[in-house]
Amino acid sequence: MLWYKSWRETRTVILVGMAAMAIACVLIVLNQQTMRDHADTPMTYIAYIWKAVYNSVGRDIFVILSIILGSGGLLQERAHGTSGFTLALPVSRGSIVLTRAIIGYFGVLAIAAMPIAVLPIASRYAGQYYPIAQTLGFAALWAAGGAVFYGFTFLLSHHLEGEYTSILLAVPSLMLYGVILQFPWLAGLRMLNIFDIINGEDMSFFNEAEHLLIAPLPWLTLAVMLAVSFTFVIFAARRMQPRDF
Amino acid sequence: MLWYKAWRESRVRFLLSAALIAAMCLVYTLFQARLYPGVAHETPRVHNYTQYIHWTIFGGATRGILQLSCLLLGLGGLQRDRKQNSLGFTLALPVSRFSLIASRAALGLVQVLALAAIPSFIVTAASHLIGQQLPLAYTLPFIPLWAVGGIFTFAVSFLCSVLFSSEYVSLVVAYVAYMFYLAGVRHPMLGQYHLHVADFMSGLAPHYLDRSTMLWSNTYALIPIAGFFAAALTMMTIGALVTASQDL
Repeated sequence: MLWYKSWRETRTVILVGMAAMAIACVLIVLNQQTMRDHADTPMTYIAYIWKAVYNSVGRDIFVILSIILGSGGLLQERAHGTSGFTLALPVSRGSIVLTRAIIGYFGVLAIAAMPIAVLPIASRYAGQYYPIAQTLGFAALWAAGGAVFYGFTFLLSHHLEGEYTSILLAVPSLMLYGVILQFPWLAGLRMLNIFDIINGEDMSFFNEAEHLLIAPLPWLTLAVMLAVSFTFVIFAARRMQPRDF
Repeated sequence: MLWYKAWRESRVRFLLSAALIAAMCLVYTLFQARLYPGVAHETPRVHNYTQYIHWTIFGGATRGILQLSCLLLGLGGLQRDRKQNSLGFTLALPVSRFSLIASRAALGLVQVLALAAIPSFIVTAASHLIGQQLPLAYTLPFIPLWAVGGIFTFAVSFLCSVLFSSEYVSLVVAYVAYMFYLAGVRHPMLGQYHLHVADFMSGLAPHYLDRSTMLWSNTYALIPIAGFFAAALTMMTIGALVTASQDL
């Protein structure tokens, strides 16, 4: 029942997000010749896909959708006057929060996975080739990076009651994180830069010349990112326990 | 009363947005000594303080936050009231639906204008504090561009908030539509029309700024400003017409 409730609450956002990502990938592929012909410097099809999907429009859509999926929760239900119905269910608050977190994260995974299906098929239709192994690799990077964005917003939305406040704070907070990483004493710690990890930029596992993932993914880093996200969710659940409502 | 209602509903978003934009302007200006080397290293176009300020504030991350704020400010309205079961109270007020939506739109325009004006004054004052020169003559011309670009962005989510009942669906559709629009107008066939609102706000299209120096050129075209404003008014009018005929 809880799973179904969480699904009902988030399904439209997830489905719209999946559709948006699929349409973005298809349009990017179908316009590849025109865009490459008018590019400042000549680029291969592989480079074009990386720049358009994994370093520009696709990534921007994915990051913001992960943040939007992370917003909402019991505090927002209280503002709407429906938290009483949810809390009347014979389950703990922790179960309510964790169920919502898991369903939301599945949504993040589903959006991250859309290019796996769409890019190779659309590329084939356009007479081009994009390796499915690359889409799988980038999906893994997005899944881990998206988990951090999602988890952070989820935590904020369980601390701040205002509508959209968590979204409005999450984006500049992540920007601030990016600014802090530019300080010299942190610049050497490449694996702290989530924004570069999710598209491979300046990373040892990514070939900048060919725009291809070449080495094994940094699985330990990705696992740490998932663990950080899980920690955010646990803190969010613990935050709800003592609340008086 | 309607103004006060609209203000109460949006004040947290507005005040938070204002605080964020002000904070970002202060951080990028006061900490420029630490941040400039990193920005200049990653961005070949940045060679001096003016270009750094443009890259980080008027044409960069701060502008992005203004756009996000405008998208969030545009949400709300009668559909949200219906979702929160407070629609009956709103519609029971002795005013037309048009008045309700017009007050929300008008307040939104004022809020966007206020947000657009923040960087010009803060950046100039903060630059003076750290011994850099960035006169008001450079920052003030951004206000109309940011205000009109922000109003256009506001109108996108305003229209979506009328069409979709769920707040988060409205936000997602507005954001996705906005991203598709921004990507679509980059198409070479549309490049000559300068329809990219982010470039417009940055002063890069249609050539308000000299791209090599990031200083104002001699042309300050009013037609693009009027065009984006007209597009925004059209979207808000459509929103009002849809609301008037909705079976809420």
